Amino acid sequence: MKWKILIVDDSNVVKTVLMKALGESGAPIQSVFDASNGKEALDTLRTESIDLVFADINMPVMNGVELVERMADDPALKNIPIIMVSTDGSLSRKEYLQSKGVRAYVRKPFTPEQIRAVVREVMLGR
Amino acid sequence: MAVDSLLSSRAMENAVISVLNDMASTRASVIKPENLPRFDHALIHAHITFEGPSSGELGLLMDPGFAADLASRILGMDESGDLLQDMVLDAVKELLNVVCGQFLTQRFGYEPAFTLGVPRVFPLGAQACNVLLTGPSILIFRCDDSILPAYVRVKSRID
Repeated sequence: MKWKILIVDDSNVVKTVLMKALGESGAPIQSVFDASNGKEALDTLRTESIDLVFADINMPVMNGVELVERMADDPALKNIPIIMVSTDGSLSRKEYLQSKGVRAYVRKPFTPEQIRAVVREVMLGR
Repeated sequence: MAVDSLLSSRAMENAVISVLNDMASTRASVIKPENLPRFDHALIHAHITFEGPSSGELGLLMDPGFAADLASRILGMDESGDLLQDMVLDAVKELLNVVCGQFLTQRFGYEPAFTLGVPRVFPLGAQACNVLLTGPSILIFRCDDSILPAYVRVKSRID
């Protein structure tokens, strides 16, 4: 099975670097979708069968925390794995997001190796 | 220099040096503000605010050519010539966004939660740059042949 991945970040640079890291990770990727905020992400999640979400926190329109809350409240979306990728170092916010179902948290700046490792951990359990 | 201001400057120094190294494979060192040359052309000014237990603002100023060079390094490209200007500005915004996150952790630790503003990037004329850089809380970094002025201002603290 190949995965459909959604990257949610308002920075095209982050999306580009993340796509490159995913491409080099060896993960079985069918396609990568992108969104610039939580609202756009929800639109994509309701029309595409997404297997994994990478999301930033600090975004305009709808931030990553609200996106996670909306997904947690939606039975159709709550089981989709989410990996947060953010500059935010707050432990309390990290714990809150994990309580809402976030599977992993990657602090920016990240390396391709970190992305490969977190995808393995979240999607393959190793 | 007040202790708070000194701690903020140190945290900013560490954040800029580590983020430039980790994101853009660029080594930076701090130089004395009195060694800062007067600018005779516009610079790119990146600015971000933060709010939480303390509020404040951070900024970076850089030559457009150096910004393009940093963007190409962040994107892992060999040359900066093919980069669209929007992508260069986006890279500068993201660089400052990450610097701000690292600064807040270095300065205040992992417990307080801060809300970052959306980074803004705009050109600043030479005269305005020179005036801005005579103000307080200015840090000057040297990266290879380029000069990277920065500032951090922590406006208030609620204990």
